Amino acid sequence: MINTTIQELRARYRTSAEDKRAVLDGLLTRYRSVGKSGAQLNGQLNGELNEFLHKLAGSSGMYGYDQLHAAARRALVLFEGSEKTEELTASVESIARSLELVIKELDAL
Amino acid sequence: MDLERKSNALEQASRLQTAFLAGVAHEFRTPLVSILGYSDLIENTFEADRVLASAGAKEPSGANSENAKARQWVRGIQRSGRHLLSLIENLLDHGKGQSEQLRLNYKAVNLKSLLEDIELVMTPQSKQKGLEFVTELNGCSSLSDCWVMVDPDRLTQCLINLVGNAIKFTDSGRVKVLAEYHDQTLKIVIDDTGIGMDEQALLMIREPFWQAHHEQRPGTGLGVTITDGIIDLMGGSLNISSTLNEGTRIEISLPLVTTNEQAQEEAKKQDLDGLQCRVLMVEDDDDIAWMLEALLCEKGFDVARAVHGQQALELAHQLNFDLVLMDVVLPVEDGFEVATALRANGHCAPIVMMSASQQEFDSRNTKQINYDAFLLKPVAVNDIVILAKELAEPPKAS
Repeated sequence: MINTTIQELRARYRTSAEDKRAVLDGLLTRYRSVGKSGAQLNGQLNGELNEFLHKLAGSSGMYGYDQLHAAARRALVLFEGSEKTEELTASVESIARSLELVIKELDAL
Repeated sequence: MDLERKSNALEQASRLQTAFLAGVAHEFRTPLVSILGYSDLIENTFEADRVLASAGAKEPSGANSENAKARQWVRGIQRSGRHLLSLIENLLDHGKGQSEQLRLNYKAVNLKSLLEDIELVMTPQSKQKGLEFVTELNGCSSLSDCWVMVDPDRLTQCLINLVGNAIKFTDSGRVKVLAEYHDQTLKIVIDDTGIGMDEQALLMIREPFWQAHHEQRPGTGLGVTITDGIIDLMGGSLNISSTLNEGTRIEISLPLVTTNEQAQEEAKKQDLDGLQCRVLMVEDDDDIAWMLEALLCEKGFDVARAVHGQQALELAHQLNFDLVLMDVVLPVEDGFEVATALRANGHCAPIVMMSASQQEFDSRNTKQINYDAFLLKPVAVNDIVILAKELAEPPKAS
């Protein structure tokens, strides 16, 4: 027996995860084209990526998607630190994979 | 010079320890709050089914008794989860060296229920070791005689610490918890037939990070230290006596600030079912807002949501709210600016700020203070319920 509220929340999060994947793809493409130093100079991209990771870390933790939460937190730390572009790119790619897993899990329920 | 260098190194080590503890506590807290949120929703499902069945709106089925069992198990998850949450938060307090700043939240509690909670949480551990675990309540002839005003979370935390130790250091025999209530004093004795301690160990046991029989039975070494601090804060005393290879007896004495009748009266008032609360939630993240709204609605709260400051001001102008839940990071104006604007416009509902990290909160909290409380995200919905009650009606005993 599953609570209808939980079902509704899952359905909403499923749609939201799809949107997040699209936004992440866009950000990743833009980020790859300019690199970390370029992104730091680009205030808008910098702000968007930071805000996206921040929100993703917060909401995924609340919904119990721990792997996605950990990936978003790791990327935030890398983003705020001075790591190389490749490391952050790899980290963001791992978020994309975690998001994919969350979507598959929600579809399977 | 050497002394100064060492002093600086110590200070740095202390800062690193604090940062490490804060990080660990935050990492543990996030999944735990999610577990508690989902278990609340599951428990509400069982409750809704029970109400429908008893009202005849739902066919009674053989699954009912199974549901009752499952409901008990979910409650076990919630109790243990809440205890773990309070331990994590205490670890953070201790790491900051702020244990003296612990706040007590007095509530009317039924002693019998409190002991049942302890039994529910600790019985699996004692069973695992083949120990007999007994709780006994003296001085109360019926359920209605057993009301006291205490901080239930802190007292439960103390009892779980002490009973956990008793089970850990007992290999055969029994662990007994005896509660007695008379002459405005609550006495709780935890008695075991364990390996006991020598005099040296008894002298050291309240020291932070000190552990008896550390090699064979490791732990954090903070349980008794934190318990001692809490009991002291409650104005009580903690007496420990022990004989090597025979067992340990720990006696908690707590002065009670109210009579049974006063506490019973308070219990009626604090019944949250009767709490009508209209909440303005200012949160721009849809996922977080949906989850919080769902959890609060299950608790009977009425929630309106704004996604930015301007919308919050408009809603506050149109409707009366009992509580405002305010995210710190918002588009255009941040949560502190919106709180200031609400106050400037004459809105006096209590404001609870919410932020993902203490550091983020501290770094932004530089403006004039216009809020009443702060909650760390992910927010546990029970904390909101407690705050809503506290802020609407300050507790009489403190």
